[in-house]
Amino acid sequence: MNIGIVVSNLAEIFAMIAVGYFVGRARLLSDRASADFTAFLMKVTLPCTIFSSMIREYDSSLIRDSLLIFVLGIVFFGGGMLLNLRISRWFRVPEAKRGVWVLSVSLCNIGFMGFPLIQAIFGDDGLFLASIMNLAYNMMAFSLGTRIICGNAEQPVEIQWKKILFTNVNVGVVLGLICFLGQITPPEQVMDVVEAFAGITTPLSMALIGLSLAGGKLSEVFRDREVLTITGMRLIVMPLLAILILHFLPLPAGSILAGVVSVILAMPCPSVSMMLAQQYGADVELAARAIFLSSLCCIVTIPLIMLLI
Amino acid sequence: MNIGIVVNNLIVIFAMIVVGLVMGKRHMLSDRAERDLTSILMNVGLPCMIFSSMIQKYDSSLIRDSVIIFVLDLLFMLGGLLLNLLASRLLRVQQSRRGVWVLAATLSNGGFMGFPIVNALLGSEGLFLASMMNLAQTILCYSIGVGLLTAGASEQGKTDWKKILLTTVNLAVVLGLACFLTQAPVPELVLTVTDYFGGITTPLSMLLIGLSLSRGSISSVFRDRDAAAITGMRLLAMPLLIVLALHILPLPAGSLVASVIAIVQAMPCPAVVLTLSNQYGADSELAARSIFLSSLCCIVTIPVILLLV
Repeated sequence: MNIGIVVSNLAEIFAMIAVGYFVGRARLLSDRASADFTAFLMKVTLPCTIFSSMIREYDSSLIRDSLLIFVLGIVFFGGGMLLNLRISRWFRVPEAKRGVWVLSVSLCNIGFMGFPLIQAIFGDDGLFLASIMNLAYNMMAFSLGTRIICGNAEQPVEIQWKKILFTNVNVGVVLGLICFLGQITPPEQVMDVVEAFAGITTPLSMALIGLSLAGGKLSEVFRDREVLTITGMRLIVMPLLAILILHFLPLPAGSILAGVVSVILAMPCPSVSMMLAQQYGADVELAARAIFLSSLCCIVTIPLIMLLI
Repeated sequence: MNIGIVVNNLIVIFAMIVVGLVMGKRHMLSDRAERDLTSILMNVGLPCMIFSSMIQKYDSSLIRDSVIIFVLDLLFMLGGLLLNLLASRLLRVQQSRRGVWVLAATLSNGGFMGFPIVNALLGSEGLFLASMMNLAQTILCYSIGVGLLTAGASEQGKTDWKKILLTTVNLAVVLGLACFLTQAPVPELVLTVTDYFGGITTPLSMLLIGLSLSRGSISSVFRDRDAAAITGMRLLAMPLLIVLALHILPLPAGSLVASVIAIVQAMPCPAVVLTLSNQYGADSELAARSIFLSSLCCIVTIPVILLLV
């Protein structure tokens, strides 16, 4: 891995997170800002980012890599969740916290941190592949993940496939794929608008992370045993495990697959675990703290993990 | 004269406004969103955009023209402000709307629409001069402009100049000027981050316009007498008066000053009027309508004005 690029990209990312942190500290926004900006990101800018990353010359190796990464996504996220169900028992995680624990460790922040970093390091090719892996991620998170979170809640599990599949992000992926496979180039004005909004994703999502960090309390977080184990698993154990497995897989030579997957799996805890916890009445506090601590610590762990890729 | 660029830019502007309109009509965001988005724009987006636009190489051959255009534009705008203050009284514009009326009629959309057109017609030299002009507008806007808005909005007799002048935007202007004049080397990281955050300004501003418009009906835009009057002033009266004045003035031969001023002054109302209205509690509805209406009508007026250049 070219350390120079990684370091400068990480520096940029953390600088942007810092901007969000100071905005939060200065109390410049209402408490609805986080939810509003998240909705804006998920429904407008992220679909634009993904769509524009797919408008490119036909590349058959990209197709091949897409299929591979989709399968890898199912394996790593699905398999990861099942594995961590077991591991959570070794850690003697209390029943009520288990769902959030497993999800926080197995899933990661692809959308907000993964995409920008991958685009910076691997360019649009990487973003393309990351979007495909995101498809697998969403499918796993909202089906198996929902089941696991509900394992210790009272409501019966009802997987709403319609809600999972028909999101703006998925629409962006599908439209993008259609344009890619059909080699359709949208009119210049359309792309201008798409790109203008796509450009908002990186700075805004980083600022959001900073915003949430500004709202957290460090002392509380460090005293929570589950948060510490989640962070350790999510930032160190899981990425190392993934890198090891990828090493032994017969992947196509010169492909950026291994790099992209490794970067994704080095990311901190995802907001989806908090969203699901909120929806199904699981431990929201734990999810939030895990996101906070892992986002903070990843400043140290990501560069280290990147050295190994 | 290449109408294509003008049309192109307008399509992009309107598309972005429409996105905001749709978001508003579908209630995608909370009702604090407009204020939060404005806050992000004023405290992060705009300062970054302004700062990064000032980081340019010192070009001695342009210095003379830069000073001329800076002073000229200040004079024109001050004159314009006085003229429009008078006009707004003659037209019996409501006290609470007067601030927005005067600003919207005087200032023009130099940044987003003016720059690309100047660049296409007059090259990078013209662009440099246009950014000097933008500087003059910025300084005026964030000092006297804000004073005008707050005078109309609140009932207090005295305007809080300290609050008006000590803003993040003005800080960016000062810093940017300092860096430009001293040609101090700005670290790459700062440039990248300000570029990222500066880039969210245009789409977010347009989005805000759409959001603001979504609160009312589209037909109300056309029925607003004040918005129509502003449009007339902004697109016809002001540019024609200025072109006339430029004809009479003894400007250096072969200088681009006259052309740049004429082009930028033919542009519709700037988004900053809405942003400021939101920030200082002035009539943001009028601001949004004027921007929308003038952007719509300029497609006819700009080619006409440009024929005179």
